[in-house]
Amino acid sequence: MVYNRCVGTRYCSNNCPYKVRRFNFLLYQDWNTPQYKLMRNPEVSIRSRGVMEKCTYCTQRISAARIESQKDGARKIRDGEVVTACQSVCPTDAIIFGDMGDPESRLRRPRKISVITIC
Amino acid sequence: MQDEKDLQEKLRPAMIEGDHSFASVTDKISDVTLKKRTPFHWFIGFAIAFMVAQLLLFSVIWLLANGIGVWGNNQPVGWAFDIINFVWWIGIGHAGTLISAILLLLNQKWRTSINRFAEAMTLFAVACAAMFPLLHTGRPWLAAYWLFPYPNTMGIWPNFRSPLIWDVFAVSTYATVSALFWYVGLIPDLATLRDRAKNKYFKFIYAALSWGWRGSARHWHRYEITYLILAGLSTPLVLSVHSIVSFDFSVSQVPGWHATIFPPYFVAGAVFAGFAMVLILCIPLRHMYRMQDFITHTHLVYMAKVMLATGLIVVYGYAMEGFFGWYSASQYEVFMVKNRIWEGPYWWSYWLLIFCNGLSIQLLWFKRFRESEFWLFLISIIVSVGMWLERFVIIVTSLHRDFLPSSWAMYSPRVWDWTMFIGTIGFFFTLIYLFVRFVPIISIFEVRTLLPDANVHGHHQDFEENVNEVEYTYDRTDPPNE
Repeated sequence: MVYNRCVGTRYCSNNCPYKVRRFNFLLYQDWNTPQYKLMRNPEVSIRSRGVMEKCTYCTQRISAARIESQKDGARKIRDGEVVTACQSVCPTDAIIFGDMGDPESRLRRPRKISVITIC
Repeated sequence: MQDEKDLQEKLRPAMIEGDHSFASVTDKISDVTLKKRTPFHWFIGFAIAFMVAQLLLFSVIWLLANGIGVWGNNQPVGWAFDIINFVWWIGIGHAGTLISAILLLLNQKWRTSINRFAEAMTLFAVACAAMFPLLHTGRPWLAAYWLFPYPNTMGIWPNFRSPLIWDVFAVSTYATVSALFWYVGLIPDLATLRDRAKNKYFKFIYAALSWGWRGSARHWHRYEITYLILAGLSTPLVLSVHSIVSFDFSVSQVPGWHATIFPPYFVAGAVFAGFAMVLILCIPLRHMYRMQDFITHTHLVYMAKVMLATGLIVVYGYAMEGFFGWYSASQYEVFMVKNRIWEGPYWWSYWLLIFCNGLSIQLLWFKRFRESEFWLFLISIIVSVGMWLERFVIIVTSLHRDFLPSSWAMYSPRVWDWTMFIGTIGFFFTLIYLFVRFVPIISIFEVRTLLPDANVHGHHQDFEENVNEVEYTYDRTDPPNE
C-alpha cells in the first residue's frame, strides 16, 4: 500500500480473499490536539480518512535494517535482525518474522508447536 | 379497398396520428416551449423534484464532511448503494443512445418521436451515474483528477490494468458523445424556436445555441453527415459502456462477480432498464402535453416488445449464473449460488428480483397488456425496481459472504445511503422538468419527415397493384394510399 496515492475505491478490499485490508471509513485520528503528536511514531505515516490500509510488516523497521546492512558492506540482513512490532510484544513468541528463502532462518527450523508465520 | 386499407395498417402502423401538416406539427411541439402558459402541474412537479434534489446536495455535503463512514458500507461489503446506484443509472442511460443511434442506422422510423427525450434522459441519467464513482471514493477531491492519466512531475499514472480506469474512459466518452449527439440533433429545432420566439432574451439564447442555422441545403447536407458520423460513433459505445461497467465485476475474483456472461447480460439489462424508464417518462408526458398524435400506441407497443426481448435475455443470464456456479465445480461458486437463492439471509432480494424482472414481463406476451398504458407503466416501474435489485444481488449478496467465513458480515443501508439515492432521483427529474420546459420534447423536423407531405417520390398508383413489392421498395414512411 502506498497510502498517499490511494483514492479509496475499496476495490482491492472487495477482491482480497483474506479480507486483511481495512478501510478508513472516517477520520479515526485526532489531528488537532497538539499533545497527541508526541505520542505518535514519527517513522510511520498516519493514514487519513478515505485510505485503504493493511499490515506493512513494519516497513520502517525493514528499511532501518536494510540501511544498516548496506552500511556494513552490502551484506545480507541477518536472521532476527528485523523484529516486527507485533512480534516484539508477543509474550508467547507466536510470531516470527524472517526470510523464508534462507534455509538457516529460524522460520525454517522445526518447531515444537505449530505457529502461524507471516512472511 | 377496405382489405387493402387493413393490410396497409398492418404493414405500416401509424407513426403519426391525426390530421397534421408541417405547420401544425411545428406549432404543436414548439408551443409547449414558447406560447402556452407553463401548466400548473409543471410547477408542482418541478417544485417536488427540486426539493428532493436538495436532499442530494445535503447528502453530498454531509458525505464530504464526514467520509464514507456515514454510509452503511463496511468490511467486507466495500461497495453497496454507491455502486448499485451507479450501475442502475448508467443502465437507464442506455436506451437513449440505442434509440438514437442503432435505430437510426437500422432505419427504424418510429424512433423519431421518442429520440429527443430518450437522449435527454440518457444525459441526465449519466450525470446522476457519474456522481457515484467519484463520490464513493475515500478521497474524491483527489480522485476527481487522479483517476485520469495526466502528465505530472511525479510520473505517477493510474493502473491501466484496472477495470476501474477503463470505466473512467468508458463513461466519460459515453457522456461526451451522447451530449454531442443530443445537441447536434437539437440545432435545427433550436433555430425553429429562435425564429418563433417573441421574448427578446429567449430569442437571443436560442439564436446563440443554434449557431446561425438557416436551414439551407448545405446546412442540411452537413447536418446529415455529422449526425450519421455521430450515430456511427455512438453505436459501439452502446455496447461498450455497459460491457466495461460489467468488467468491474467480471474481471475481479469474487464469487458471483467473476463470470464471463456479464458483458452481454449487462448490456441487455441496460437496454431493458432504459426502455422501462423511457416508458415511465413518455406515458405521462404524452398526456400532459397532449402528444398522443406523435407518441402513438404503436410506439408504446414497440417499446414493450423491446422490453420483453431484452428482459428475456436478462432472465437467461440469471439461469446461466446458476448453471456456471454448478458447472465451475468450485466450492465457492456453488456456495455463492446457494447463498444467493435460498440459504443466505438475502434470499428475499433474489426472489423479488425474479418476480420483478422475470415474471412481471411475461404479461407483455399478451396484446391486452402491451396495449394498456396502465399496465405498461406499472410493469416499467416494477422492472426499474427489479433492475436495482439485480445490482443489489450481484454486489451486496456476493460480497457479504466470500471466501473465509471469518470475514463474513451483514450489510444494511443507513439513512445517508437512502437520501443520496432518492436525491439523485430528484436531481434527474429536476433536469427532466427543465428540459420539458425549455427544449422541444419531440424532434420537430424529424417528425415532419413522417408526414405524407414529406414523401415526394410518389408512385402511389403502384401500391394498389403490388402491395408486397411496395413494402420492400419504399421506406416505411410511404404515405397511406387512397
